[in-house]
Amino acid sequence: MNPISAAELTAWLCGSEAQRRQGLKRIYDDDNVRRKLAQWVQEHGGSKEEAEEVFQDALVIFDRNVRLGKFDGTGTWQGYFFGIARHGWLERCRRRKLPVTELLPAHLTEEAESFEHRFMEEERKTVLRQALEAMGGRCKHILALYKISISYEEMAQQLGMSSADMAKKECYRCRQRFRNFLLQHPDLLDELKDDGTNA
Amino acid sequence: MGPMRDEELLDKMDDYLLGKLDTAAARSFEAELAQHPDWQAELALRRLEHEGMEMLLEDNLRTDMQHWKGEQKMPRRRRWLWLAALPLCGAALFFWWKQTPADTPSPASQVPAESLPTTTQPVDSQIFEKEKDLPGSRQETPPQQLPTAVATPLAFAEKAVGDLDLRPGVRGDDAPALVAFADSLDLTLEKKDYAGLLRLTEMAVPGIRDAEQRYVRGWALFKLRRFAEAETIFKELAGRNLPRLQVKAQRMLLYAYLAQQPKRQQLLENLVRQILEKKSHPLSVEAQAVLKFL
Repeated sequence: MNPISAAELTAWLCGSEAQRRQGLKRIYDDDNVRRKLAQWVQEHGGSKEEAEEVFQDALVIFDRNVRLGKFDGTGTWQGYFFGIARHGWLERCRRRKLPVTELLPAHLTEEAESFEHRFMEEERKTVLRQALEAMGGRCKHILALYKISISYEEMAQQLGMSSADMAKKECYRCRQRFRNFLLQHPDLLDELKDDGTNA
Repeated sequence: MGPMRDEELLDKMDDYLLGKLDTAAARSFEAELAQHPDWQAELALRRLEHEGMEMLLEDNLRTDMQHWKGEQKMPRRRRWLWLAALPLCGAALFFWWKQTPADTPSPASQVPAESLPTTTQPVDSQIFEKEKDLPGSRQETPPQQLPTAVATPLAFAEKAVGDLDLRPGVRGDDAPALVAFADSLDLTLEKKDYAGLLRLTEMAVPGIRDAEQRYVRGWALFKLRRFAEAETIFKELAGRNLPRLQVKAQRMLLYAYLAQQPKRQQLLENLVRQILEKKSHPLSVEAQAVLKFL
């Protein structure tokens, strides 16, 4: 497999749905990055399975950062990816419980806050997932396409709609559905907004 | 939001959330926002929408990764054999499909042609007819073996749910897309590739009712332990006026609640009570078993 440059990869991840999948698969299949990361995680007390989890988490973050323009493409993508993965692993280590004798009051507070924060995050995700599932498959597809910033023309073409205007209307309708679900559950909405502010 | 609520402003909010504004433009927009509490409320809602969309992309990627992981496990040589066999299978399927008389049920179908529903029949399943021995199916069958000697509600729920109880029964005159869907579904189930199954339910297949596809989706989500999402689907299906599918969805909802114990304690109790209150409800045995387990 030929190596891919940072510019090529960025173009893929910011491209169409198919291009994105192709780019993400190239990273996923990159044996060098995977092997190097697995070795590093194992050297730092992790297992092979944990290394795989760290790899997958890193890919999710890498994809998001590239789309949001946080990766400027000056270094290699492998270096940037590895940096994310390493940070992810250190974050995991920080969350791990230390033996009781080594715990200081500061650790206990940090651990408790971290647990609470993670619990809230999980709850938040659960509520959002419920809202997403309530929208139905087509709407989810439309919104996923919107989020990767493809034009309404392309969206219409891909989904077999008659025009870009139609795609825009559909997209609006789907967003309204999502919003309505949340508005129908004001308690959930308040929780989400509060968490969002605190996060 | 009054006169400020125009399309341009809303588009700008989206651009801001999509990271399309450069640093200077973003800072200037933030300064404007600080002076408009009504904009902030709208932005908060939009932020949630974007967060949801981001989760969609993450979920899609994680599903893809599970799928790719499965592909990687397949030895390279065998993968080539599969690829080589695909055109042959396609050709064989095409000839078989052409030669099968339209009114003869295909060997794949386990349902007699006369009992297959037509569009005018008030049934809730058009093509998903190859059902297993479960409550709500047409054949009278002995009750499903309920789990024993399991320690946790999650283990009980997963064991009780078992195999997919709604499978496509395909006839010779079905559209090739439908046949392909049924084959892919069988293949993913055989490989226990639930992420692959989930992907299958993302595509619209002509001839399949949305409710049935959503049921399969909910089942795949359950298998992937994404219980909250599965719950949303089954809750919706349980509320629909599709008698047999309704019972199936109610059953899955029961186990989705159980798997999420103690978070869904109250909802589970309500559902069990609702089932047991009805005389000879098809799920009464299972509801009692759940109650006993709890």
